[in-house]
Amino acid sequence: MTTALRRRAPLLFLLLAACLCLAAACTGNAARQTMTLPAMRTAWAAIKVEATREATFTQDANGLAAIEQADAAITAGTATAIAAAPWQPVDALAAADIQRRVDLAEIGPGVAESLREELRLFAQSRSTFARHP
Amino acid sequence: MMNHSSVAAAFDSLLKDTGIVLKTSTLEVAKYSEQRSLHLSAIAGQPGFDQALAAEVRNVAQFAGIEAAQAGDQTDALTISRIFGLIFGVLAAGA
Repeated sequence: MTTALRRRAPLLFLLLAACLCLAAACTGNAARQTMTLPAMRTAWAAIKVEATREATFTQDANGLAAIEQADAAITAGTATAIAAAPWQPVDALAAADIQRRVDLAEIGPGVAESLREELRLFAQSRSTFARHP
Repeated sequence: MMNHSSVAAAFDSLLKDTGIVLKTSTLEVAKYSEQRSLHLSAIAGQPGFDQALAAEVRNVAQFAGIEAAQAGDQTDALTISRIFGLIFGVLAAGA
């Protein structure tokens, strides 16, 4: 592990734990709690930032509207809402943001691979959750 | 680097303790964790590495498709933190 990583690891973990506790608190009092949705919500928090940054950069009003709808669906946390949200433009915006940041050398290609893996798994989780919430 | 079986055993122990069930087997989760840990090792030092580490913790959780078999908000918040803490530990040990 790099020295920089060792130094930052506790802070990163605390941030993750805080996000996860917030996500768990949003799950409500369902008789059967699932952690699939909290994991999706945590991923969405990061993906939403990427998509919003790209939509703002490209002044894409339709994209921003799609992000709002997607955000509402994740907040609602129902299979119907998540299945109905306009994910295609949101996914495209997030992917474009990652590529733009690689082109600007803000992130390395390996970091981009991790972020793209997150997009891939998030799409898979959405599909799974929509079928088996 | 922890091996598959020791990572799987750590997951099994935590799952038994918390009553959590996974959609994916612990061995599969352990293998995926090791794969992502190797990736992190390979990209250490790249700009934005912190973002990759945070993303990979979330990726392992999503891959696992964690599904709780118990009720109660407070228990779940603690359980989620414990699961993600274990994932972070496995990834950081490899990176």
